[in-house]
Amino acid sequence: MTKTYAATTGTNDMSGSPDPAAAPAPRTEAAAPVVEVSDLSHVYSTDGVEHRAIDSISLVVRTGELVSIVGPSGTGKSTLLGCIAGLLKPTSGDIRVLGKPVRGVPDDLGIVFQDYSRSLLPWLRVASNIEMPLRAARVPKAVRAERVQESLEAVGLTAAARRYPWQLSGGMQQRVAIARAIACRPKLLLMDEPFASVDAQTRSELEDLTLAVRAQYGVTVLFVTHDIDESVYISDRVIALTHPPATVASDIAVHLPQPRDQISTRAEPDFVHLRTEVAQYLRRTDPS
Amino acid sequence: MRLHAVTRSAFVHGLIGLVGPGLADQLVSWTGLVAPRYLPPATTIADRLWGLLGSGDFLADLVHTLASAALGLVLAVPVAVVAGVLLGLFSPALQATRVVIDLLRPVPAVAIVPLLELTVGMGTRTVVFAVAIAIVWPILLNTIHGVQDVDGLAIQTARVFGLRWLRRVATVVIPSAAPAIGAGVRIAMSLALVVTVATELIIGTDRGIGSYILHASTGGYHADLVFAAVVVAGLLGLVVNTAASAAERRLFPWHGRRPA
Amino acid sequence: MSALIARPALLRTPAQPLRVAGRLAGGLLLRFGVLALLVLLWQWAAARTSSLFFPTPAEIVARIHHDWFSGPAAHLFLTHSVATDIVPSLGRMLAGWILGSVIGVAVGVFAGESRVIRQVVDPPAQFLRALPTPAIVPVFLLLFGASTSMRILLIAFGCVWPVLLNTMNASAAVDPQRRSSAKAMHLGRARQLFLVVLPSTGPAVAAGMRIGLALGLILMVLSEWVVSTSGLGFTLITAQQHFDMTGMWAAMVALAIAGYLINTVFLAVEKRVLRWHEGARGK
Repeated sequence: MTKTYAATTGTNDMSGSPDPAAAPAPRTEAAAPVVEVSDLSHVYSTDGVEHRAIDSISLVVRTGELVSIVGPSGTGKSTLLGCIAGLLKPTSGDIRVLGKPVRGVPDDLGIVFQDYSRSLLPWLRVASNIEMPLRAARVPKAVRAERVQESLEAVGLTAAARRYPWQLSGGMQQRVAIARAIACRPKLLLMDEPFASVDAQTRSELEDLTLAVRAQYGVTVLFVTHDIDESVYISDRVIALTHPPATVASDIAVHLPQPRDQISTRAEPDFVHLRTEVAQYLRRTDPS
Repeated sequence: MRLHAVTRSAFVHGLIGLVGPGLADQLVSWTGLVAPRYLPPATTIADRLWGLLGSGDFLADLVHTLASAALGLVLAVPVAVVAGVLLGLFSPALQATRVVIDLLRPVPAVAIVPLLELTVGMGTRTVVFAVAIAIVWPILLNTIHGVQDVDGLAIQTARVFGLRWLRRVATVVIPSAAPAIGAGVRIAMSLALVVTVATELIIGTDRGIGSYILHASTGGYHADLVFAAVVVAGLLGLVVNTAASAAERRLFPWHGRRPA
Repeated sequence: MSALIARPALLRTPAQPLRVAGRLAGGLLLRFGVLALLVLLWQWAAARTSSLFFPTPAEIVARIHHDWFSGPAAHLFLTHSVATDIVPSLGRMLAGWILGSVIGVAVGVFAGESRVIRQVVDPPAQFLRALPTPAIVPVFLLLFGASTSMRILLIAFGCVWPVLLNTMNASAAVDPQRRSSAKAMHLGRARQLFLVVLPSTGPAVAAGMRIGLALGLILMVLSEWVVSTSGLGFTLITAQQHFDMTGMWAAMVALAIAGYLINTVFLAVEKRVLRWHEGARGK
């Protein structure tokens, strides 16, 4: 059964387990919405053939939340993210980021794409790559240097500043991409299946890195993935999408203890319960 | 035949683009920058062009030029492709001949035409050999690059499946390098036409567009006819290149496509 | 390097001078060995047949020395004709080549941004590029007279098309995700063009410039064929017309060597500037 879901209740305590105060959970009253999507639809037409990727999605992401959008590949998750990022103009619906309607790429936004080799610039060194958006924003030189250094430290790559992206491993390149995204101190961080192209070990490290970055910078994160375990592991909320035309199948709050830990969190009974719930929603909507 | 929407718009836009040089020429005539006697306006050239295309003699010349270019291709392509494949596969051989190639390549066909005349004989034979020599290089170099770029993994996979060397070359290397070779041949085709007409012009053959241009410029400079013939040569190159590009896209649809 | 199998990394051993020298010598032997062999073969064949049209390499070298290297020691043994013929000719060629390439890149980058513009620019570019070169020399002569600028513009005209077309196509083929990334970073149109699109076209521009170099040499020779009193091309043509075969060969060899040297330098520069391309492709 699909639900077109509107507002979320982040801390509506439904799971029954108290959460330790390691990282502050978003408070409904004070948390302003960072992303508001209402009734979004998008239809692709190529050569006269129409493909309805998204059909009437509505969702809200509040300040400081880490929300995952999960669904099988090709379900329109990237389309959704593209619309929110202002890279794609939706055929219908309304999107607001930080209270302002989306026209073009919103300010205070950072994006991490899946394919780092195609989004990092191979002719620039790592430090220059990270610096690029800062230069575009006309940040003064001294501040730029400081931010680049800080971002590199945040992702643990200070030694790689002078190297070229292609000299680094896949995981390190993705760290550079993350560093580049947070260098501008964005209020919203969009991540489009960022860890799908790296091996499992690296993926765990990068998941933890994302959580650490979120804690350090207090940035709101919207995270697209096809990996159910990953979505439950890192998120405060998981939104499951149906097969195309994609709508919201379910919006599930994740009340696992913070800070998350790859071993203990994943062993929690609640983790298993939540990931089963998500998997069931996805299977239910699977036409095959 | 219903042309695809993109192709139709490309055609229209292309026509608009072609008007450009014509317009420039017309302006040069109108402003008197160059006397129309030496550089006729586009309208005059177009008129003569029309006449030429209706003239049996000129069409015979045109066919002769095309045939010479084609012969040059027939000579050059097998040699260049085979050499390119071998050099691409055996890097010591490539290293050994690299210097020779790089020394021979810059010598313009223009410069060796007299030598050719003396060794190969006058007339069309020189033209064909000049063309062949000139177009060997793009085909050779593109083939070498194509072969070098073949994914080592594909070859290793073939080896694991027990394919012997010749089989591997035939079924993995050549098809992988084919798009690059195709690009080389396409470049060679346009180049062949240019060199054909240029050589005919230089040595004064008795047939061909180049010879027509030469005859129209000696014994009283008929600028209008000269330029009409030149335009024909240019259009020929355009048509050949467009056709070759289209063929290339058809033959190698996977080339240049990246994963979404 | 056709590495059909992945080679294991060479173990690091302290370089012994003799070994290094041996390796270097071996490399040089391989690279220039075939050339030396061919020259020797030629010497042998030409000496035997003593044809008027194929002088021996020895004669050619002697002639080159006489024409260009028999000058005073103060001038590095270069003769006066180097200054009047070779340097200006090559200088004009380089000027035309670079001018054509710059214009080609500038127009190509902008044209690549719009599919409509590309469709409009492509056919006239193909058309103009296909015009027989000896036939367009008179046009330039008429427009610009028999001057240095005429020759430079002629060469630029020839060199612009391969670069323009290559740049245009490469600019259009820039990875859309790279563009999305740039847009997402709030890079304005100008920054996108110069910092993302332009560097992406680097390899294609280099390929076009290499073709342009070959064309430039041809046009240099052709431009000095008519109404010229000096230059490398002029020397070549004059020798041809006077049946001075040795002189003709000397000029041809000079042309070949000049082309080879310029090409080698260009390749070295390209390798340095575009080293990111090899690195990125290697992955």
